[in-house]
Amino acid sequence: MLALLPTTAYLHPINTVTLSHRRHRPQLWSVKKNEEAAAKKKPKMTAAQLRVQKDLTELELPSTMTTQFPDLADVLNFTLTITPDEGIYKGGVFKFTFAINANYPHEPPKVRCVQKIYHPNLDLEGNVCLNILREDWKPVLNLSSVMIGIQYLFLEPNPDDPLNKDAAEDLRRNREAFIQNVKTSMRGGSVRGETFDRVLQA
Amino acid sequence: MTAAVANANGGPSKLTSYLADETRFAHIDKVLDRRGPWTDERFVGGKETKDFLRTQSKILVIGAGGLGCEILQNLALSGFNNIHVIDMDTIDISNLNRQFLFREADVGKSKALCAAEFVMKRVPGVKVTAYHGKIQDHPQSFYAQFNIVVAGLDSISARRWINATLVQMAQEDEENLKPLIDGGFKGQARVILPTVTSCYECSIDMLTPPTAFPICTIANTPRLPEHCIEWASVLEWPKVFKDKKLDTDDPDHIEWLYRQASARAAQFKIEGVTWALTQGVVKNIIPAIASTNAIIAASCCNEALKIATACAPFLNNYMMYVGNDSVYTYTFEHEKRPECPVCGGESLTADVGRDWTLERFIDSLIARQDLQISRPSLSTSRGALYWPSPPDVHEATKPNLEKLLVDLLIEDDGITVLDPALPVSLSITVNFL
Amino acid sequence: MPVSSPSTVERRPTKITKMDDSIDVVQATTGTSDIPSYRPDAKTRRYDRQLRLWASAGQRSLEQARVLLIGCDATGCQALKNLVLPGISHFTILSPQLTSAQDVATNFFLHPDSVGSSIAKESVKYLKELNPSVEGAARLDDPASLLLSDPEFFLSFTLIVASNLEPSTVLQLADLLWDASSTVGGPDIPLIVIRNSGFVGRVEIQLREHSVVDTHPDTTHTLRLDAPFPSLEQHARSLDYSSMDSMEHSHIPWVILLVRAASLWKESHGGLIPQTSEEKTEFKELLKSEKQKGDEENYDEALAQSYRVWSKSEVPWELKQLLEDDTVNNVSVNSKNLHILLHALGRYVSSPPHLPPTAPSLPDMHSSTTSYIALQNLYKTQYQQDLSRFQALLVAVLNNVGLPEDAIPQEEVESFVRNVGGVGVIKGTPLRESREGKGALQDEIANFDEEVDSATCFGMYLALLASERFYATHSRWPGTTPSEDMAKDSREVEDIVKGVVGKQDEFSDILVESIGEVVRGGFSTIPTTAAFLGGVVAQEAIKLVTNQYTPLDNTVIVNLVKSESAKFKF
Repeated sequence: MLALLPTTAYLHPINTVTLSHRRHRPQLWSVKKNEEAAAKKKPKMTAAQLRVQKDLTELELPSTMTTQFPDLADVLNFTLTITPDEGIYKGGVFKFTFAINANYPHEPPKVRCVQKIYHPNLDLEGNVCLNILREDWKPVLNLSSVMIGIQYLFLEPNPDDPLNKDAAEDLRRNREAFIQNVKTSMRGGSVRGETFDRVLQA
Repeated sequence: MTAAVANANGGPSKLTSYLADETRFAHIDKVLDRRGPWTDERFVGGKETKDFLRTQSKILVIGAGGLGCEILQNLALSGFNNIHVIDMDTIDISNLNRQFLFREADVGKSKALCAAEFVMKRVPGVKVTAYHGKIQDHPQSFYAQFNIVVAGLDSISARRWINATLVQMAQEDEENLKPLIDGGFKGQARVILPTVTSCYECSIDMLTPPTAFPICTIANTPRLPEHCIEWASVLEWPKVFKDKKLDTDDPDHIEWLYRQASARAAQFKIEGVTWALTQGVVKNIIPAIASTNAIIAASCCNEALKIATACAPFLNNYMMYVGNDSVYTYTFEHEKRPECPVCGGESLTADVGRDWTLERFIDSLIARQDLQISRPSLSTSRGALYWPSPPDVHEATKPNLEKLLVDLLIEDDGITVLDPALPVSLSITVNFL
Repeated sequence: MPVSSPSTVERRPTKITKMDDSIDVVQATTGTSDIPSYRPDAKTRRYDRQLRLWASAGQRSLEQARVLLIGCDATGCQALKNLVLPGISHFTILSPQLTSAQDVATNFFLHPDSVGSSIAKESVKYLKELNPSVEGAARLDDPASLLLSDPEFFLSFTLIVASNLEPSTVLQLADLLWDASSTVGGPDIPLIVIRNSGFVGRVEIQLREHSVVDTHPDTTHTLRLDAPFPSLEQHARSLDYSSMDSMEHSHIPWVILLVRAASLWKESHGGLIPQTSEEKTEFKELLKSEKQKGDEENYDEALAQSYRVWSKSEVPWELKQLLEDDTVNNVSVNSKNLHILLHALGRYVSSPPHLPPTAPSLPDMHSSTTSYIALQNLYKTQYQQDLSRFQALLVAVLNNVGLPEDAIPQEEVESFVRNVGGVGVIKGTPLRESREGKGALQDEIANFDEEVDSATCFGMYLALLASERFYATHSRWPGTTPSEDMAKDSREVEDIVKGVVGKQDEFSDILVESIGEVVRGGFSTIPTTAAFLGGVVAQEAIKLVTNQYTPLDNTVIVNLVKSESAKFKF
C-alpha cells in the first residue's frame, strides 16, 4: 500500500518512461541520508528569490548603473542608481526602488523613482511609464531588461505617450526650452511652478 | 457532539448501527474489491486496500474555498477518514453561491474551521482537523506527516510555495515523496509527483501575466471604464491617502474608488463604470460557479482515491476542462522542464571540515569536474552568502570568504548555488565533519 | 474638487432594484458628489461571482427555473446542489425509495439519521439548506406509475434530470417529453439522462430545439474594415495627417488607419481590396511609409491587424445555415421569437450591404481618448441605424404573421441585434432512436477506429447500451453479483455489443476492456464520479435554462479511469 511501497510503486506503467528520464544526481561527496533532516524545518529560497539571484548575478551593468542593497537578507528590495553619461539628463543621479514580490517573474517588479524629477515619462509621484513594467511584461524578461529600459528613458524621453503631460508638451513644442527646463529641474529649481529635487552629481 | 446530534434525531442506535455496518460502502467497494482491465499490478484489493484508505491514510487539503469545500466532501465520502485542512481566509457573502459548507450565519468565521465542523457533522466517522492560517507557517515536518496533498488554491504564490516545499522534501529524501494534486480555478486538475513529473513551477511561464494597462494610458488617455478605475486605484489612492493601504475588501474603499472613477469617466465621456466593475478590476475577481468547481474538485479527489488505493491508474498528469462550448476535456502529459528552478535543481550533501573557510568551500566546488562551474553565487534563505556580482553585493559579501563556513551557517541552513554555466540551481546540505 | 476620504463617505441607502448595478450615463455624468452609491445589496453580493458570467438576464432565467430530479441518488443530488446554489426557483425530487445505509455513504445530502426515511424528503431537507431563496419539494410516487397516471406533472417543469433510472422508465419519459414538444406551441422540456457505473459515466440531453441567445463568442466586434459604413469611411478620409503633431499622429486609432488605407487602395485598384500576397505586402509597405517615427505604436498595431482588411465581412456561415432553416423561413403566429427574429434578419441581409447589423462595440487600441470615443460613437450610431432598419423589417414580419408589433420585447430585439454573431440553434433527436441503435450510432460504429482518442469512451458507450439490454432481460445490472460472476456478465455484455456492432470475429481489445471496466463498476455510484457528473449536468442545465453558452449536443462519456471524456451526437 501507499505507506509500504517505495517511491516507484506510485508509478503506473505509463509513468515509467518519465521515471527513466529522472535526472542524474551528481555524486559530489558521500550522499548521506540524514534521518532527522526531514523532521526539521529547513528554510529554502523561494522560486522568486532564486530567480532574482539568477537575474542579479548575471547582470552586466554598464558603468552608468549601480545597485544598492540596504539589506542583504532581502534581495527582493533594492535601489538602482542611474547616472546618464550622455543625453539631456547627463550629470544627474537618479534613484529607483525595485520591489519584487513572491509572484516574480509571473508579475513584474514594482519600480518607482524616489526623487521628484521633470521627465515626460515619469510623474511627480515617481511612477514610471515603461511598457515592460506593466502591459508588456513577460516571465522571460528579467531585471536587466527593466534596468536597460529605464536607462533608455533618460536617453530618449518619449513625448508622445507621456505621464507628465507638461514636460512632454515642452519637449514636443521646443526641444531647446525643454533641455533648459531639465537643467533647471536637475539643479533643484522650479519649472512651470513645480519645484523639483536636486539630482546633480556631487 | 456526536452523541448530541444522535440524540436529537432519534437516539444513538441509528448512528451506531450505521457506523458498524460495513456494507454501507457497497458502492465504492465494487472498485476496491475488484480489479479492472487497466488496474495496476500493485493493486491488492479487499481488506488491505480499504484498511489503508480508511484507517491509515492521512490527507491534507489546502484551501477550504470553492474547490476546498468540494474536495472535503468528496474525500470524506470516498473513505479518507483522516483529513486535515488549512486555510487562512474567513467566509464572505460572495462565497455562498458555491462554497456550500457555509451558511449566511457563518460569514466572518474561519473557512477551515467551519468546513471541518460541517463535514464531521454530515459524515460521522470522518475526522477533519482544521488549521486557520498560512501554509507558509508550517514546517516541512508538518507536511511530511501526510500521504497525499490536495490543493484547491486561487493564489499563484501559495501554489508555488507548496510545490517548492514538496519538491524539496522529495529531493532530500525519496521516502518523503508526497503526491501533490493541484486543482485550478480555471479548470485544470493535475497530478504532480515531486521530482518525478513536471511540477507547478515547470509551467509557470504558461500562465498569462495579470492584466495591466499602460500607466500613461491610465494617466492621460483613458478609453475604457477599466482605465478610469485603475486611475483611481493606482494613481489617485496613493496620492490622496499616502501610506494608507488600499483594502479591496473594505466597501468604503471601493466606494471611494468607484466615485473617483465615475467622475473621471464622465469627464472623458466614457461609459460603463459600475460598482461591480470597480470591485472586479481592483480585486481581480475571476467568475466562479459551483458546477465548474465540482468538476475539477471531483477530478482531483478521483486521483487521490486512485493513488491511495491503486484501483486504477492515476492521471499522467494534466487534465483541462472547458465548459463554454459543450463539454470539453483535454488530458495530456505536461513535460518536465529540465531548467525548472524548482524541480530541475540538483540537491546534494557535502561533507565539510569545521576549519573550512567559505573560500575553500567555493574552491572545492569549482574544482569539481562533474559540476563545471566557474563563477558561482551562494545564498541561504537568509540572503546572499557570496555573490561575485553586482558590485555592491560583491563588496558586501567578500568579507565572508575569509570566515569559517561553520560560523556563517545557522544549524539547518542549506546553501543554494547558481552559476552562469549551470542551467539549474544546486541545493547543498552541509554536513560538518 | 474636494476629495472625500473613505471614512467620511456618507453611507447612502442602497437603491438596487435590479440585479446588476449598471447606471445610466446621464446619472454618471454629474460629478463625484452626485454619484449615487449603488452599493450592491446582499443578493447581488451573494451571486456576484456568477453574475459576472451570465449577467442579470441569465440570473432572471435561472430564478424562474423549476427543475425535477427523478431518482434520488448521489449523482442527481450533486447536480441539484450545483443548481440550488446559484438560485433556481424550485426543485422537486421524485422517488418512492426509503434511505439505505448505502445511500447515506455516497450522498452528502443524507445523514445516518436519514436511514429508513423517505430519501426524497431527506435530500430535499439538506439541499434546501444551501440557499434560502430556493423552494424544494419531495414527491414519493413511483416514476413509472406516475408517468401513466399524471403525465401533466412532468410537463410543469423547466428541465428534468433523470438519474440512474430504470432504462424503460427513461424511455417512457423521453417519449412523453418528445411528443409534448411536437405539438404546436407545446413545451420543449430538456431531459438530461445520467447513467454511471464505477469510474464510468454518461450524460445525455434530449430536446427538440434549443436556442442560444449568447454563445459568448471571443469577439463581438464587426469592424467592417473592408466594407466601412459611409460615416466611418468619411471620417477616416477627412482626417488631415499632415497637420497633426507627433502625439496626435501616433494616437490615430488603427481602425481609422486601416479604413483609410483600404479606401485609398480601393480607389486605385478598381474598388478591390488587396488580393494577392504581393498586393498585401505592398499595402503594408504603403501603410508603413505613413509612419512619422519608427516607434509609432498605433501603426504597429495597424500592421499587425492588417489581415482584417482582406478577411471579408460577411454573414457568418453558421448564421447563414440558420437563416435557411425551414422553421426560420416559414414563420407563423406560433413561431418562437428567435425564429421570427432570424426571419427578419434574413430579410435584413438580403438588401445591401448584405451584412448583419453593426455591433456597437470596439476593442481597445492605442489612441487618444477623444479619437477613440469619436470612433466608438460612429459604431454606436451605425448600430442604432441598423437597429431601426431591422425593427422596421421586424414589424412587417410580425404584421404578416398576425402578431402585434410589440410581440417581442424590445430588450430581446436589441440584444439579438447587438449580438447576432452569438446566436445559435441546436436541433435534437429523440433518445429512443439512439437507444434502438439507429442512425448516427451505426455511422459511429462503421467509422470506429481504436487509434482515435475517443475509442475507449465509445467502447464504454456501447457497454452501457448493452448493459441496459442486459438489464431488460435479467432485471439486474451486470457486475452486481459476487465477483466470481463478473467475467460471466462481461462475456454476456460482450455478446450483446457484438450484436450491435455486427462484427463477431474481429472484436477490438479496447471494446473488451471498456466493457470490463463498466461491468467492474457494477452500476455503483462512486462519490467522485457522482460529483464529476453532477458538475457536468448542472453546467449544462444552466446553459439550457439561461440560453447562454453552447450546451452539450447530445451525449458525453466520462472515463475517470483515464480522466478523459468524449462527446457524441446520436
